Amino acid sequence: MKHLLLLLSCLFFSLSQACCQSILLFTEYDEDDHVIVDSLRAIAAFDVNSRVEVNIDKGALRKALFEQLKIDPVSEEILTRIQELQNVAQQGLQVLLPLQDSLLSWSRTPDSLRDISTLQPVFSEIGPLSLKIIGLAPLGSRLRDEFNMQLFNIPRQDGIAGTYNVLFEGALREVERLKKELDSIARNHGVFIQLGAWLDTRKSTNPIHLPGFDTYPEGEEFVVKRWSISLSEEQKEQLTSIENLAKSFGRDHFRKVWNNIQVTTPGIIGEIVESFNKCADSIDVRLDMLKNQLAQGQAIARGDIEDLKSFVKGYKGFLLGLKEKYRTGNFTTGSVAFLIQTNRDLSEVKKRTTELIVHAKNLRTDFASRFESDANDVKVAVNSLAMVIEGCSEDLGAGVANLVDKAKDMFNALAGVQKLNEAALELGREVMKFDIDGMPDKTTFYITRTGPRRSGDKILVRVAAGGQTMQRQVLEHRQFRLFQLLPHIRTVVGLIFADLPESETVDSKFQLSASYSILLKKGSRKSMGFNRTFNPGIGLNVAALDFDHDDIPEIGLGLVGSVFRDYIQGGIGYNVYRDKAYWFFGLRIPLSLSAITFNKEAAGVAE
Amino acid sequence: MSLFKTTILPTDSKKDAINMLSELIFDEPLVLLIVLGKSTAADRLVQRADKLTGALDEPRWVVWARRPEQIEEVVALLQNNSQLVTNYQTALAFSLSFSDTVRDLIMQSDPEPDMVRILESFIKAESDMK
Repeated sequence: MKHLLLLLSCLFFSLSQACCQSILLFTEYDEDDHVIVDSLRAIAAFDVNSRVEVNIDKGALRKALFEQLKIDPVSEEILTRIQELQNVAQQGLQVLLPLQDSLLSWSRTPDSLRDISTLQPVFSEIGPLSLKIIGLAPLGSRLRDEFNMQLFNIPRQDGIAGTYNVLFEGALREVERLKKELDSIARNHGVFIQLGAWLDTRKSTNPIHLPGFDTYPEGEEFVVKRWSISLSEEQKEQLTSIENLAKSFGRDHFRKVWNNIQVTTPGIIGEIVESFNKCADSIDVRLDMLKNQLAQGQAIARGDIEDLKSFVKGYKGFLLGLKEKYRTGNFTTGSVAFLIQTNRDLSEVKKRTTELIVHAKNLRTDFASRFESDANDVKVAVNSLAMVIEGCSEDLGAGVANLVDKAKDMFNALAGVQKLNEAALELGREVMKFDIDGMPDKTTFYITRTGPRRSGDKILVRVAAGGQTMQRQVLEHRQFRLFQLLPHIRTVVGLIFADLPESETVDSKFQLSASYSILLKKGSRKSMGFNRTFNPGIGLNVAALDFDHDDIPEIGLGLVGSVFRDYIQGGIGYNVYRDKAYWFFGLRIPLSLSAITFNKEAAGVAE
Repeated sequence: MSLFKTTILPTDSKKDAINMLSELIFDEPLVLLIVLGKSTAADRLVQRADKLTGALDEPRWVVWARRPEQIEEVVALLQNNSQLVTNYQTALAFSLSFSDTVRDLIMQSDPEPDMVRILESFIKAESDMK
């Protein structure tokens, strides 16, 4: 009774976890001393420099463990009983405080003024819960005996509320005993639990040290700077490359670069086509061999072979056409149309190759049964065809899968999606194995000690369990994106299109200039779309202008706003040297692309 | 035996017994457990029930009618009393809510009521559940 308030607050905490059946409860402590508790599994992102506490709800863990591993039939009954007792007791304890207050108020009120309407609603609420618990403690049960003993010795000053409390607290004690029984069952079955975490970046997936849970060394301390306005070495190089790009704009340079791309792509497609073509040739040869072995009377079989040969012919024709198309490199379309056409061709290769595999396999199966008892030469030819089809179907199948993977990778790279390397998420030997009882209740890790990372990377946390005769299973997997969620300054390098004042004697309305923007930004914990897509910023743009094209840089300072992760920027600037205002729009150039450049059509600028 | 919140009805005066019981039932805002008879089971029941009545100012109370026949006419006035009236001769105890409604009935033939069973009887009366 003394610690009732504390107990109630703890229980409310437990309830909030129980509602979602989450084993792992995360609390983030960020650099600005905010504490964010993920009680409703609502958090999907951490700040890149936060500290994270992982609490383990052993009740939920136990439940998941026994439900998923199906350790023992008895355990299911115990689990059900735990659930029932716990739910009712927790609800009851929440009503206990109002009951105490009402009874206190009742006893302080003079007899003549006592009003049952204040007391009755609380009794009506707590009564059914108490009766449920009594129903779960039948005569002769351990729980019933404990209740009787407690009630017999209850101090009078504990009052009526005390008698209710005996039921609720007794029920929770029983829950603890039942949990121990479950733990004992788990121990007898050699069940172990592991907790692991990883940092998944664009480059690699590495384990994170969770104190108390593994023996991995602490990672490299790396704090993502919040207020840095200086350009990194990479950005400086990028700026140089963009400056060259801006200067050479309008010359033949870009056409040459683009031509290179167009020359390289046919080579890649040619290789794919060549390997597929070889297989088609082998199948065609074996079909001829088989056809020659068949007697003239085998009209149906010969017809089937002809059908497949005709299909192979069409397939080869398609491949050769494709090869020829890319060999000549005669593309008059723009870059976007070129890429779209390339994608269509690859899709068609995939479709036709899959059809060929299916067609050939059907024929092989059909012939194998049809000529089982036939002449030896026919059987040899069928077997030879079967072997070639088998080999080819593996090669072509792998080729198709490779095509699909390549397409996915390209798409993911464009969409900024990182592929999760499942193999890297294995819980290594360094991750310790625990039984439920011996498992620590919580651990804390510093994201700053997980090594180099950047916005968009992921933190993955897994709790898994296995046993002597049970394969390890993942009980819960959580994934958090890392973003710079707190207010921060980000410096991005880009290309701006400055609107030249009419007085300038130049032949183009816009001038391209290398620039960088110092942007104030803030992320969102609730909306990943905001962080990954919109992600706006506002700040200062510094550009190296050259309005009069005399190759002497003129500094331009501007107020800039950015959206879509700074890929689109716009603002108003002032050419300090020439005392001229201008407006501009700009593009952020990703580091990886700065060396490649893009063509003029894609940039939307007239030649 | 020391009883703190138990009223033992007089056995030598039916009128006094009725008056005392009526006052407890109809005038006092109490939840009552009324134990009937003077059997050993009734005696033990009273002693156990008294332990569950809480502090003096709280609304649980025990009444011991050692001669149940004396209070039959009061019982007849209670709400939801049909089962009790029918089985009055074999009843060991019953509980009454604030609204003077019979909410639980313990029979002599039932297993001897333990602390939990007695508490259950009080709880049923307090929650005034049908």
